[in-house]
Amino acid sequence: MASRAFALIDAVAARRPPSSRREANIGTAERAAFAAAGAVLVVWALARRSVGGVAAGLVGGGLLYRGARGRSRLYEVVGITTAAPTGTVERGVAVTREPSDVYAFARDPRNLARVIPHVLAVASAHPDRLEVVLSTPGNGTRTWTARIVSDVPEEILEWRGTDGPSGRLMFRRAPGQRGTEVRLAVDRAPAAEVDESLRRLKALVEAGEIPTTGGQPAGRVDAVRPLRMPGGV
Amino acid sequence: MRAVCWYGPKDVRVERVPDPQLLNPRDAIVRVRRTAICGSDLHLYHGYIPTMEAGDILGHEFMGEVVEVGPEVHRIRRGERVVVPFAIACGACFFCARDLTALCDNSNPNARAAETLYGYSGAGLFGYSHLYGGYAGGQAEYVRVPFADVGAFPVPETLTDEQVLFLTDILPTGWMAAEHCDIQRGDAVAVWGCGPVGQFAIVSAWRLGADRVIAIDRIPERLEMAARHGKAETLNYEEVDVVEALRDLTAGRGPDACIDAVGMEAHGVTLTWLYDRAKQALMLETDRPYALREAILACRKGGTVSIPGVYGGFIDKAPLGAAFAKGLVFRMGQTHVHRYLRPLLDRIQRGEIDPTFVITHRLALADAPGAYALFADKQEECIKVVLSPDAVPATARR
Repeated sequence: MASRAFALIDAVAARRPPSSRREANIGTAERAAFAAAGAVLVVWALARRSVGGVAAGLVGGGLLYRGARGRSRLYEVVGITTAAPTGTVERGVAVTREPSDVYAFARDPRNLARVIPHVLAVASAHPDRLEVVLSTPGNGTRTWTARIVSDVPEEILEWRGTDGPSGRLMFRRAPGQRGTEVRLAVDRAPAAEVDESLRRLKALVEAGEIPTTGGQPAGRVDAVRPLRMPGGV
Repeated sequence: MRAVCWYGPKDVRVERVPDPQLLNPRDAIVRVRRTAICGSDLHLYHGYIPTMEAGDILGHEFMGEVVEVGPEVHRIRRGERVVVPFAIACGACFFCARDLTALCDNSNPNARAAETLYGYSGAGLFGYSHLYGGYAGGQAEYVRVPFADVGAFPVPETLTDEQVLFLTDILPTGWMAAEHCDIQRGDAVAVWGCGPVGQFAIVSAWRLGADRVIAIDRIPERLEMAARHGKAETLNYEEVDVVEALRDLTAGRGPDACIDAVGMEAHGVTLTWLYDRAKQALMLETDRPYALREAILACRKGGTVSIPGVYGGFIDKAPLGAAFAKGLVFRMGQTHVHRYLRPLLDRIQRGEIDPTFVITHRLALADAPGAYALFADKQEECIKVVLSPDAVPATARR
């Protein structure tokens, strides 16, 4: 019930001008808790009619708004999201190489395994089918199958996931000597992972490797931890 | 190996750490012969650059001998003596293709963090915080150099280690600062800060055709070096009002170009400086732009303000109105060292520039903690410290 109400609020919010449109970054349970706590405070404040009551009313109103909007400014600043990904995430990156090169790279299953976060291997038993082995939390693995439904060289590569996300990669020649604009759209994917996939694709195509410091020396016991990224990639 | 590690503000130590390994196919490992402490290392030393972690290896000015190369390194060979620019560049992206190597798209593994703060990420840098990639630096016995074919430049036998060491950063940085001034015949160039970058900016401004060079500082030995070696006119900002003095020296025009070779930790003599100190201490502003404000106010109409000094975050009370009213041009940024390295190497070989004049202290790597303090507090007339991993430490010599 709460999730349906929140979905409605999100849908209304999504119809606002693009500049003010923001995805929810608080999970459903958390939103319900904020909204409930806020409502309790507001009701209590209305009954009190005192200075403390006004303060409580303001705080309660803020919590209620935060829960209803599903968006926390604090979470946004520190890069936290507790909301499950919804809808399609689409991102673009410019790669300084010919569209034919970028397409050929993306069409090779071995490269996909290096580009997509949490993917251990990609096999292609059939030209139109990809088997993707993912690592899952706790050292497990999971396999999902993607069927390629559209494949136009140097233009588009679209797949349907049977038990994983569907999506498409689009290629377009960039203006001037700027190479290729690559766009990646994936259903129900965390935006951070889509960004990271494109970043790795670009680095591999342009530089031939993904920059890393993993395994370098430092004067601390745990050798080197990569910097923690918002979104947890 | 031994390496200079950062543990917090004013806390650097020489520690034993594992030797670096090849991590990517285009990597090389360099055995460091000489390394230097940069003025911008003092921003780390004082804790003004965010995203440092205890144990990070410092140092972005170093040269040495290639001891190992990865399978995709084709131009650089084991045994070659090389200098290494402080910014790491892939050599293949949009920015590298345009010689803007300090803006490389593919060398910062923490690009997302930099994008959060700056909108887009510049190149990864050696030993300069996790925001800039978290790469282990070269104040160590060995260092891993990514994209070695792009980032390691062989140097001729005829030049000493010290002669080529400053090609890694401060000589190209001083040069780019002067080049950004677009110096025309008759131009007067004013340089704030007579540290090593300021000294090289002075030398470069003459080479690029300046008619006058005016140097500003408060430290006597630095002003003296600017006057004696740099042949600059000098102003001590503790003795004169710099903006007034510059107006006077240029018959009311103002300098045609102003170089801020100071950056985020400027000192000053007025209430504004105390205001900046207080705001920085309270973390209400991250950078103290005292020199920059003066440069903006002093610069002639339509002139150029060139900023090689490092800024990391936010400044207050920037006289943008003055900059706008006078139609100033601003040029700034991390130096695209790769672009300048060979031409400047040629000038050193031809004897036009001898960068070693800035060196005041030659110490062992093991002396680094004391050397940082010496340099930070400008004790013993310290202007530039060079460290050698194989030298005997001062503590052992006593």
